[in-house]
Amino acid sequence: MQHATPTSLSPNAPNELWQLGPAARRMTVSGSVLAVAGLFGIAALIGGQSSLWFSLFAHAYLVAFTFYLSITLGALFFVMLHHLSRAGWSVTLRRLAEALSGNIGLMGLLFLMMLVLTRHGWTPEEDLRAALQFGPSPMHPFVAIAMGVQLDFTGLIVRFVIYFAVWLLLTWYLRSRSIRQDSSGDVSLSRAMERMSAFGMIAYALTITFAAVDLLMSLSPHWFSTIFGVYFFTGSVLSGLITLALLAFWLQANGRIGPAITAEHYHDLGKLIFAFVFFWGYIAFSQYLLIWYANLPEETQFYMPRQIGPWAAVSIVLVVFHLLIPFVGLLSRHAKRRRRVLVFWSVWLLAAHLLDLFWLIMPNVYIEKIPEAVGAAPGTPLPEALKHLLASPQAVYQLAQQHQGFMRAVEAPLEPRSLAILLGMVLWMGGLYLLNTARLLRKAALVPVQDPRLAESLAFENL
Amino acid sequence: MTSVTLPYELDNTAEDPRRRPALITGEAGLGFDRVTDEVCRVAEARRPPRAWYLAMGVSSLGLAILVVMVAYLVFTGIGVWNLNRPVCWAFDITNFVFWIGIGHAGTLISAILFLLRQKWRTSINRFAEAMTIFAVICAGLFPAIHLGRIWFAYWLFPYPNQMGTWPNFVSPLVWDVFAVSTYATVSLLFWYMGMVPDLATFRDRATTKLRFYIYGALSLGWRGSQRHWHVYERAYLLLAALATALVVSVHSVVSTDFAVAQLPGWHSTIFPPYFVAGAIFSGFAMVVTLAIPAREMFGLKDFITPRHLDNMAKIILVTSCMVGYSYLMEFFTAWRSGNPWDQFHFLNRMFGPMGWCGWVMLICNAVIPQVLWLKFARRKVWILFVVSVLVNVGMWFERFVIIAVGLHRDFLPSNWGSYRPSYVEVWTLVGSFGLFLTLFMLFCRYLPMVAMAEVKGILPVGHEGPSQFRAASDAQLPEMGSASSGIAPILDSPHPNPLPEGEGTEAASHLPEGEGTEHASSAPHPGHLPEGEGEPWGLLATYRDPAALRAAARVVRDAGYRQWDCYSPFPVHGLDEAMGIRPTVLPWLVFAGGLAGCMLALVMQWYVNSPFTAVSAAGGLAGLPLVFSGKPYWSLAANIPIAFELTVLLASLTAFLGLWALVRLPRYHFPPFASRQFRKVTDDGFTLVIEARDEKFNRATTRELIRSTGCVAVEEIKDT
Repeated sequence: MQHATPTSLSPNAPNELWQLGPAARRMTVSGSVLAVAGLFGIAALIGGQSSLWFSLFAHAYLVAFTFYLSITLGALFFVMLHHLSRAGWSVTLRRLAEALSGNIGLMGLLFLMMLVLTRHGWTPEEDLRAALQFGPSPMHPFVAIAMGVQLDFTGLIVRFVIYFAVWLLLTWYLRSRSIRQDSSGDVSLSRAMERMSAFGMIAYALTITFAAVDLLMSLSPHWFSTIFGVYFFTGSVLSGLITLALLAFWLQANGRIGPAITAEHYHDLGKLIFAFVFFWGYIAFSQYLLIWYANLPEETQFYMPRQIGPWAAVSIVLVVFHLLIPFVGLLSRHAKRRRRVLVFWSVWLLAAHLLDLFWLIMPNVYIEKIPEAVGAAPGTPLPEALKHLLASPQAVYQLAQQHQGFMRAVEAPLEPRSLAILLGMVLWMGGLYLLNTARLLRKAALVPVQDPRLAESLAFENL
Repeated sequence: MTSVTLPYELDNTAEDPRRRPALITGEAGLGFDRVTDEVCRVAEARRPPRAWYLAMGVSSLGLAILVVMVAYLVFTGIGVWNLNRPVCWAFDITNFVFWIGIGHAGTLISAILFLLRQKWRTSINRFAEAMTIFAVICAGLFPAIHLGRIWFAYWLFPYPNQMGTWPNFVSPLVWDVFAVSTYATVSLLFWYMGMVPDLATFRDRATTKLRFYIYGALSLGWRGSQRHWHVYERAYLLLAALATALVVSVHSVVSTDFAVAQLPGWHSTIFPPYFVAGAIFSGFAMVVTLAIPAREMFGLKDFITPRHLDNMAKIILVTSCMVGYSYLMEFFTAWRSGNPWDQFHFLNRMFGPMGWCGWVMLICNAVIPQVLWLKFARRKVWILFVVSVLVNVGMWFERFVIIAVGLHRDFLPSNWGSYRPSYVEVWTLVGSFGLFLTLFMLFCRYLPMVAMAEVKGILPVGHEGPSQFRAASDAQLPEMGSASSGIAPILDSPHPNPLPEGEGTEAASHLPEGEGTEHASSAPHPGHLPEGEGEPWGLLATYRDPAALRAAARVVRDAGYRQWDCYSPFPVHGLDEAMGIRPTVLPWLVFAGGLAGCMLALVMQWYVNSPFTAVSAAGGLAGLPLVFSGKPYWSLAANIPIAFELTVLLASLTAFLGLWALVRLPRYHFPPFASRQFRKVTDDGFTLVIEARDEKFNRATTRELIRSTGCVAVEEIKDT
């Protein structure tokens, strides 16, 4: 356990360890290497024979995009929670979280790119038509119109403009005020950030929920789950905390920050990571249990395609790797206090989070094709089509005899080439993310040097 | 020394990011003995305040009504309620969910806020925990009496029987039995464990034999030993972590009573977290509803300060927003799903024949608490009180809307119905408040309402962390530079046993052996032990403050003693390290206990509902395979809730029993109890005892060593 020696860390003394300095170069270089390496992965697209290539590409892009979006939003949540709870311990970590959340501008650009590239792959027009035909309500005539509005492209753009405006405003405000305090030491800025976070939290809760609905839940247009926004939120916060721990570790390994972040801070971060591993499992299980139990076709249509063929194994691996193993692994306080152990679990969980998004998004590559494959009329709801696809209502792992050929489409996202595309996309976007993070970190000190609670954070000890 | 600036501000809600505000104000903020006096005053007063009699009268009247109503129900039958088809659940289950929700705030305060290091919780956690227990008692009543034949309630538990029947573990109603009974057990353990040090204080201050024996028995011989505190703190942390997971699971399981069904308005995937948020919301409102009158009645305004009310108001606001979010998600998803039945349900909820209930729920829970955004509203006690009462009303209606309004109009219009409560149902609800408040009033009168040991730990005078930063950030006196000067106020306060400053060691040496600082004039303590003869049991040294005790502990440790211990009113930070106490094995025991609970639950559920054991075992031990909801006989998903509950139950029991086994309590005989000095340990004494059985113990040299550590008094303890 390395203790901060408080006398050597006077908050007011200029501390060159608290600047990114030479580490900026390393960060930029590794970012560029990752981005280029990623392009090679994406190049696996060239020469692909699959008829699903565009769909694979579009969905892989969406996986990578939501992966980095979730990290960014998770970091934003950390910053707001810090202000809102007037936390003392996390002051030395806050600037790093602010930098991660500052990537929201980059995410906005990547979103625009996604719109241009994947307009069709993402919300196929058949789905839109199908949505309009589903569920003519005897109670409310405007329901059909409402469904149209929900999946309407213009409405979608308007909503995303609102989401990104809220996120940009919050990150800009909280980051700029925090940096301003570095030079002015103005205590009232702390209160201003606190107030902003209070309103920000409400706006955040609504935007992240509806963004999750638009980005992910809309992939299955007939499916609905009231908990879905919370599900995406837990994954976001988890990945934000993990990335924060990894960033702090990387900077310290590169001789930055020094003893301002100690085992005590990692311990607390580890506790939060542990809590969100558990919370994710709780939310995921709540959703699964209730849908499994009620067994309504319009809800089970989400889980059933994810149990066909090799996807059953992916589903089980997700539960084991995202919940059970890290839960036991992070239970002990030693796991949270030893940096290398915590870094191991952080990398593990980041991979598990990527798997979670993969599991949410990639099956759509073949789910979209199911009605077509079973020869159903366009607009046939998925539960209806699934009846024909599967061998029997009990044997959800097997395809009916006449549809065995469809297994190729089911397995397509798991083929090495598809995985290479996905990995390439994640690396390429990760490289850009790293470059941008380096740019943001360089602009200010790595620690909020004039924060009124900095002394408390430097001297922080767990019980 | 001249007078010291008082370490409190009257308005401790003002927020200055540069320093943390005082959490305990007024006289009580001055010293440990003041905390003891202020809290014990309530229970030691010869007569409680007149308002207590009034409140007790009204509550016991309510309790009497409850007894009459339940007796009438049991003797006549469930028909005295207005349950019907399709509304087969109404007041009974609404009250059950309402009361179990009320309990959740107690666990939130004692466990979750503890894990989040919210120190202000120490003033309110004890009575919030008590509230949890009483609310769970009220909650348990309703499912029991709604069975009709309450004498068969034990059928809910799995036990081998001649009829060869077992509970069906696929049913959420059975999950409920396990969740609620686990919750009641763990809450009781947590509450009692937290109370033991305070009961010891009551014991040591007892003025009558009756009080001495009752509190003495209940406090298990607790003596503030640092070796005990060390295990105790770890056990408390483990129980807090387990209780946190438990509190989330309990209301989630309660929510599955509804959410696993297919009924619109019941079947919603957000139900588990939504119910948990709602439970905390209603529970916190109840804490505020009770805390505001209680702080007036018992003069606890120094403990439950404006800042506490402000913080509680903010938690109400946050949870109100969570509940509002859940409402929004339900309405939004019903609209988006295009599911006509869901859409009809939510229209019917707000505009149907029972629509007014929906509006009461929406306005009380999601709209009115928004007033707490204003600091003005959080500061005005009466506004806060009104809001908290309305939240209680709103949350009761929320459960009523979900249950009764959800049931009265389902898929088939030919199956629609309506519901009006009978007078029996209404008065049973009223009576349950009588039961709750009666228990609460008795608690306020006879048990420590504020967790004294914990409050002492957060006083600025009790705080002297390892670094200057901590002292500077936590202490309230701006001029406090070093850790030891933080003790100044206690020195200036009128001390019951004044010792001349700077002459402590001499003063001690003048005292006759074995007498200590016992005052001849004071009446003997009711638990006074007879004087031992001859043989010394050990040497007892008293210190002025925690820092001095810690310094002395290092000296004694380095001198190579083994049979010695420090005694303090609260766990002194860093003392276990100074004494060289090895980490306890308790966490491993708890892990093993949890694992055993999980395995037991899985094996039990498999065994009981498995077709395999139905044919391979005989008589009362044969399994009972049942098809329920079209589910397989044995399915892991349905077994997880009970596996989770039993994991928590066995882990908690291990933590609780393991604590007492490791510290070897209860043990009522302990020779230092004869010393008046030692009995101050549970008040404001910091002592160190070296036992005579230590190999290095020598009357003369050990005494010299102890004197060299700067104690204020030394006393020889005789063996008894």
